[in-house]
Amino acid sequence: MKKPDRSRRFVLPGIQDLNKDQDEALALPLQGQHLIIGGPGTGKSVVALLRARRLAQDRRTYRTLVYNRLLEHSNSHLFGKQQGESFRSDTWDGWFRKLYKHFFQTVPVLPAARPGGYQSLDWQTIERTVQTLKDSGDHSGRFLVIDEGQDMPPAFYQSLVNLGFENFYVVADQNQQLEPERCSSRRDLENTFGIATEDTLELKTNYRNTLPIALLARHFYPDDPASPRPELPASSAGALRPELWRYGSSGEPAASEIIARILQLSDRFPSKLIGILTPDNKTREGFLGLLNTAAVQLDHGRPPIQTYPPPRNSRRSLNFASGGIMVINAHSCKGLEFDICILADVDKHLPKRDLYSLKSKFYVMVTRAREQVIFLRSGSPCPVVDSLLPSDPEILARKE
Amino acid sequence: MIHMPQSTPRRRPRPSRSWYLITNHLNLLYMLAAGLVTDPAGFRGKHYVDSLSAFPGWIPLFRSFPARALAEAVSERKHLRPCVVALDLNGLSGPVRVLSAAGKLRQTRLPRPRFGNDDVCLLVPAPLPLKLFARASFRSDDDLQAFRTAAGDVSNVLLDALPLEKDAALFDSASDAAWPVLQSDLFPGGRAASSTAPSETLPGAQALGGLLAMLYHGGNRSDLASQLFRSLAGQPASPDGLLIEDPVLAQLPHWLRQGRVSDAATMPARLYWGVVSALAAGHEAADGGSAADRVLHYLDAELEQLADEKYQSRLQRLLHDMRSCMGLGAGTLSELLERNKGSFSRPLLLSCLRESSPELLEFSHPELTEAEYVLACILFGVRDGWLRLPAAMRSPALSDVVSTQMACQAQTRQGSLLLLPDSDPLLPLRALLLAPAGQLTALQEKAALHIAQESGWQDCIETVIRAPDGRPFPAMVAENGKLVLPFDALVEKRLCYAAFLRQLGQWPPVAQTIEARARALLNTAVGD
Repeated sequence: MKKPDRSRRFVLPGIQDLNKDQDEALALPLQGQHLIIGGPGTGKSVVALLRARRLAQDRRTYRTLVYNRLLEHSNSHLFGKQQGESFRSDTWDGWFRKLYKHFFQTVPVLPAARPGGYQSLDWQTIERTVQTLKDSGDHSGRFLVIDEGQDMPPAFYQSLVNLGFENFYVVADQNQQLEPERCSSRRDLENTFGIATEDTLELKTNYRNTLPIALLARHFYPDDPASPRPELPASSAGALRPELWRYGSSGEPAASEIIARILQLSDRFPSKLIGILTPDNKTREGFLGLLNTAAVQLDHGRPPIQTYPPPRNSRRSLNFASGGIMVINAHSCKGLEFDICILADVDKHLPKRDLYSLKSKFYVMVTRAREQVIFLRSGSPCPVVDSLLPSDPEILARKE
Repeated sequence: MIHMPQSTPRRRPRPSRSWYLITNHLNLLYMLAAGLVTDPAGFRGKHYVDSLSAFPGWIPLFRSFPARALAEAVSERKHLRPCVVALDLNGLSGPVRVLSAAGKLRQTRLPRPRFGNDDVCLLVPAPLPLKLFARASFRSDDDLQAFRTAAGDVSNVLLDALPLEKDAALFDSASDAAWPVLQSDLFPGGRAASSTAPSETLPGAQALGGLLAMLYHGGNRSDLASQLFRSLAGQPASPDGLLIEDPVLAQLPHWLRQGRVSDAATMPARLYWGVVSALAAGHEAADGGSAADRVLHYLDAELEQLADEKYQSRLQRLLHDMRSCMGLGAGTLSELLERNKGSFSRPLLLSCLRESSPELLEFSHPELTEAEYVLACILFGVRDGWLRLPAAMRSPALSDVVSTQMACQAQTRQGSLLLLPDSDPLLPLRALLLAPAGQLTALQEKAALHIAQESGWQDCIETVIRAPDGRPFPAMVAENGKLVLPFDALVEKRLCYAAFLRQLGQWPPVAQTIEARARALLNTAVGD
């Protein structure tokens, strides 16, 4: 059989796919400060990507800032090459450290939680120091496009404004804050940029997820009033419902059978990216090992199987431009998009004592999927997770 | 990967006196994507208020336009830019209406309508083909750039065929006449009044447009698809004259004429065309339900009615596999095709296994028959409609054919007597490069070699080296990737025809510039 083309290309939206609010977000002037708020799947990242593309075409000095390295890889692959123009993106933290160093040589950081661990920026010192700077240069010709802008702290934005940055295009969703106490609220952003509430654009319609996925996501919705609740995508009753599979116990498929079916699913759709979202490293490594060693008859051979963080000694970055299987921990998945999401061993997710956070975690995981969501459970069910899962089989179909 | 649009608009001669459509840049973009000059009903809920809002079912066209119509066109959102599109109505004939400044309507006829100084606009039944667009004018360079930028943000608009210009003077010439002159209750029926019996059972314009485009592109792999495209695009040989052996595909002509299958149709044919009808209806439904839902709901309902156990079990198996293939249902694609054989089941299964029309054109499987592939093309085309097809599937020549056929179909459906201009004839490349007598003509071979060479299809070309007097070849010396012969040899490039046809059937298609040159060599309608 012909070798499959696994390329996973970013396809520009059709004109019918953009609603009037998205049209408006795309038409915002290049200069100035713009804030676009919307829930998962409302097309925030698409408008941010199109904005970056426009800046690249216009040969402007711009930078797209995202929360983490995975999201940067994902956006870079989606952007592709623009007539020789590469996607200029960075993680917000790394970019800010470089910028700060340019002015002040050393970057103030807080002590690490454990020896050799990550040292977060000392924003109090940074804010104070930035205000002492006499001449930070002219940044009026520089443009910043910021994705998942709710995850950066208010001091980050305030420092940039104090340094003389003028052109911001920020897309954000307050319902997806990773660490609410260190994140920026809608009001923080509006105050920093001097944007009137009515001038913040709200994207409300869910385009990424199918109706059955959106219905499942709504079940886990954290309900922060600052971000508009995404409207359900238009569709009649769902035909392809999210699935819940139990495995590993008597009368249930064995783990090897589930792994074989995941590989067959990937084989049927060679250009689709399947994200397996795991609760912890142990589960991630377990799935990775089984996927890499399972003996299954496939039309196209074993699909590419990737993981993050990558194995030691591997220098390859994750490839979002190709179909296959990506096994990552749940906490790394925010902002990413997969064609199909498999939530592995959902009973192991933490924190069990903070239902709001656990619910938010499920919300973020479910909304990563464009076309299908599959829950996997094995062993004894956790009563806390049980209480969170929808019992209606129309929302989450129990499979055997 | 994001693809950048390349636009070098073809200049069109200015008509002696233009009719103007007053709109905004985003409505114009939508019409270019939809392939039709349409009233708000054709915008599927994304119409920004403009002059088209005044008379649903009609296109108001002005000789001199009121400034208020320009203001109305940008009244809904602050980012809208006014736009004036000149139309050339020379190819149209039939009854239209004229609206006077006093708010009176009267009938007149194209191509020479009676239109006086007191008349405000001509009302032409919607929709019209895009080929009537002569040029689009903007008030400023900034507005024109906003239009180009917005076109670059979407996948389904090509600006190649529409001349664009800045013409501030045209905008300054707007009159202070009243607009709108009167409300749409002038037409109690809402939509354009019919002149003959409407045929609403016919497939809608978007479904037909998508179907034609898929047959055209599928026609580079399949002679059957190519022949069907030829007949449906109004070119010689009607589909009735074609010998279609597959009983499901054989119902295509009947379905196109009447929107349903013939009484003699088999059960698989009834089910397949029932699905196609459900998908076609989806383009006009208000609820916007997903295509997959429509298909599965239709088949679920049919399953309940089926009495024949043989078909029941086949349909049950198919429905099960269609539902489970996107989840952890077991089986590879080959196993699924093996389980679900036949020209009814396999195209439906493929509709769940491949997402878009280009993905189907990319797909091949040794088990798939030609009829199954063509039926899958029809299913995908009707499902996506012309609107959803990306720019890579829209050469200007194909857009012209499709837009004209869609407008004709829509006019026929509503019983209009308006006659539209013909499109230029167009055939898939494969049809132009067929060798019915087993031998390509010299021109065909030249064109095919041009395509193979320019596309880098190394497996399609052989190089023949002949010694001038037929002498035996001496030992040859290979030097840095060259063969050196110690005499004056004749070198000829030859096409490997079977490999060439195989390559021609692949997706993505031959680059438009290469195709245009090949068509020029063949002296046919150029696809640029």
